Amino acid sequence: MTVTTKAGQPKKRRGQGKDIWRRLCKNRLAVFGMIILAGLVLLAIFADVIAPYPYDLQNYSEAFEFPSWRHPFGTDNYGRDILSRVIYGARISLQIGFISLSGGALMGCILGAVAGFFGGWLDTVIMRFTDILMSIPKTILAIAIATTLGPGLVNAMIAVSISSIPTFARVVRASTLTVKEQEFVEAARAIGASNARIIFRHIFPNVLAPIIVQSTLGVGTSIVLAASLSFLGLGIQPPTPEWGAMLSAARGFIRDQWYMVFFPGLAIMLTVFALNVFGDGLRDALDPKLKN
Amino acid sequence: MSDKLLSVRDLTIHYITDDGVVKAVNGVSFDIDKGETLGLVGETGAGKTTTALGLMSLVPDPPGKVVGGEILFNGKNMLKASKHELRAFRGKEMSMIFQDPMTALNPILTVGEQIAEVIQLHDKLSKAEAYKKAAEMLRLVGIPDERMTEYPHQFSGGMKQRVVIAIALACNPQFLIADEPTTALDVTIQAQVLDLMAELRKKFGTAMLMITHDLGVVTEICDKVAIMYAGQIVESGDLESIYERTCHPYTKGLFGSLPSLSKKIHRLSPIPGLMPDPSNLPTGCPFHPRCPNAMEICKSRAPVNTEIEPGHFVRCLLYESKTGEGEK
Amino acid sequence: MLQFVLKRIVITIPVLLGVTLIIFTMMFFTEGDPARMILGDDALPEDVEQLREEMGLNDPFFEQYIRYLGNAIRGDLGISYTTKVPVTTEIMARLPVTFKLAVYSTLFAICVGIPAGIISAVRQYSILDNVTTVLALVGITMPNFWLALMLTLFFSVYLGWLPASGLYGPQYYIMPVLSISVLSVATITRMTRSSMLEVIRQDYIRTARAKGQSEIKIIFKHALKNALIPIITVIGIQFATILGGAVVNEQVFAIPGLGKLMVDGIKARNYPIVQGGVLVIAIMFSILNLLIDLLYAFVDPRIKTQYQRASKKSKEKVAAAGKGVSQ
Repeated sequence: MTVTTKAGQPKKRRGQGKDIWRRLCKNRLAVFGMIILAGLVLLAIFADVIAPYPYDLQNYSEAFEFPSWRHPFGTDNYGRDILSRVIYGARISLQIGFISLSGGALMGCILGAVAGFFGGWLDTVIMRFTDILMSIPKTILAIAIATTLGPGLVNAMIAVSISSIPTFARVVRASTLTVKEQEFVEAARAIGASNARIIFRHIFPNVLAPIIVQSTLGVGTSIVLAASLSFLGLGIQPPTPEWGAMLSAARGFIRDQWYMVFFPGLAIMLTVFALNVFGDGLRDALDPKLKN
Repeated sequence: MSDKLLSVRDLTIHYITDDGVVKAVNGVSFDIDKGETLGLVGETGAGKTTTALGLMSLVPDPPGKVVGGEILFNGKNMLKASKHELRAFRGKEMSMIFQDPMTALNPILTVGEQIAEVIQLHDKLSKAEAYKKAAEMLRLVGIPDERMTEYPHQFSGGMKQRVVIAIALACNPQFLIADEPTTALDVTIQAQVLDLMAELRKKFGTAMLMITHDLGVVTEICDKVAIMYAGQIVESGDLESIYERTCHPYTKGLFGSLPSLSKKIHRLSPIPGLMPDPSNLPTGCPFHPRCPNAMEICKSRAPVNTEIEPGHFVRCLLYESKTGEGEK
Repeated sequence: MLQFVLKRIVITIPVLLGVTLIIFTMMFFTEGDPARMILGDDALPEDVEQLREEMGLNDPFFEQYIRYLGNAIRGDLGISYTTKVPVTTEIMARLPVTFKLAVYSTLFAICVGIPAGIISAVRQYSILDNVTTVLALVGITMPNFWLALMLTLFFSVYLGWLPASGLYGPQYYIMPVLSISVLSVATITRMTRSSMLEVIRQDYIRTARAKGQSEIKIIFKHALKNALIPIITVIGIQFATILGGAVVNEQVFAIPGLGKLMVDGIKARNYPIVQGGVLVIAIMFSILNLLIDLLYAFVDPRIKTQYQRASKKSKEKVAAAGKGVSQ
């Protein structure tokens, strides 16, 4: 059979990006996800221009309207256009998702890398800490933190951030441990590379792949987590058009105004779907060995 | 013809992948009599394992496909056998020992269970009787039968391979395929396992296909040899003809690349180049890019099997002209 | 084996202590004065201050923590601000409901997820596989409280088949269990599928085929048992998700469980309830993790023998010591 590279050796960095991109594009579902994501990002950035109405424009004479040409998603109890609110909601949800995730990911990566690389008591302490965090289900942890901090956007982001730390810490630690044991790290040490150099030039690039995949999937989880918080009354407060908050407000009207419930939730689902599909595609593209 | 246990004719197996068709086995033919051992020699990638899998109808499909040829076992074409027939056949008439003993055993079943499984599948024995027989087989391969209730991870590599041999021979098959059974083991264990196989072969009278890349192993245990290159058999014959009157340039290259204890050689002479990519085989004779005796015609004409002396076949254009006749 | 069990239990304790510390820290820094909460907004400042002294609210952090811990171990998690009933009582009254919901949801997820994953893996690339994969993808991405609302819309409002709230009989369980378990069904299906696919590719499966074993037996006797370990891990993690999902869904379906108690508590600023609830859930989850670790030892003989050998060695040591012979 054709000559194959030994498993476990670091891939050469040159030209690898192109390979990954090519593999990613072969996956039609992932491309579909990417397109949706791109669309959502555009919506978020240009919401002011795209949305037909401002999200807080109340108009009682047009309240409770069914989906129509003028209001494709209908209007809510205050007469606000739901489509516009959903579009603005994209901006908010994506913001929350990315920012919260970044905070949690950063913290988690640092903790995981330190734990994996240095080992010893540092590793034990950090792992016990993540064990503790992980023994509380994510949603409930977020609820507890949000309760302590109080309602509001920033507090919700903090709560969601902290909830994502353990997963990243675990993933990065596991990757670091695997990479650390490999021979090229030993070789680097043998030629006198310092710890810092080893971490940044050798370990980090090989740990990057799982981090990227985890991040993509994690943004989706963060968005849902934030929406759950808003749904329960923590987190985002009205009149901010966050999708979860919109769902919560719509509950009372479910009997007759089904569209108030349907569209915000659909938006959440579409976003998370796109992120997941893209993340899966990314995972397969980054490590084709896993695919088959 | 009638006491030919196994007769393979023009076996062709391809793997159909996204990156093209991999022509792993291209028109392989050989015969094995009852009790005989054929050594199938070749480098990695020559198509030996695929041939073996083809014999057992175990080629993974997809992506593999037996594209042509026939496999006659006791006169029956196994390529046309039903699933039911194949299941009765595997383990009972023909069994296989795989290359890597470390992964060949199921980690969550005891060794005794795994041996008893094949016994229960084919011989109508009760569970207790099957386990007794399994214990017997373990003893036969040199493992104390108290270890029947242990799990594979508790055995060393050599002992794992013995268990695999026990499983393969438990139902006394007529034919055994051994796919590089000692490659993954170290040399001392290798000798033990080979001795064990020779002993059992004598005891049970099993015919064998021994796949190896080690010419030394061949001399120890084989009656006949077939040299495989790029999915084809380029030379075959009995031990003496192949070793004493080597014909094919590739075979000569293989022998020539061996270090010798008796002669003083200054440099080893490996065969230059690499085995060709099976999805992109050279035209004409597949060996011509690496052949020291390549002629112009070798690039365009594929050689056919020529019988140089009784029982000794070569697939090389050098010899085709010599005899003037070819045999497909 | 007993050693192994005890060892695992011992490890869990510091984790739970850590949880209490985190919860207490959160309580400590939460806005609002507990004494005032209890006495009400129009209480006199002197009374509030007196109550604060009595409750020890002016003591340093660690003293309060130790007191909290001591109380918690004895089962005293404080008093609900709104009902003045002990938190433990309130929680215990509602815990069975949430527990039942979580268990039913988990069982549902296992009974649907694992077979779906097996079929998907065995019939890879078939239509069945593609459909299952898509459904699983949808299940993972759907926010479960939205599903809850959609189900209610369809089966309650539109069709009138199922009741929208409450928990008075078996049919009341159907929609909550469905929406709570949807993420878990999808995740278990995907994990089962990928784990089975990986196992099916292993050499020992080829060995089993070479023995002449039938495909069905190969799937169940050889493949599934080996594939089970990551699946069990996922089931354990999903239990956490299910607990979290239960909390949210109890709101939607107005189910009087621990989740609703906590959420109502949040709205009413009834912090002892919220924090007591978190603690109880964390304990439940830790116990589950312990059980799952024990389950590993049963499913994977490699782990089993590790501990058998350890206990055999120590037994031998003890026996040898008893005979006065040094090993």
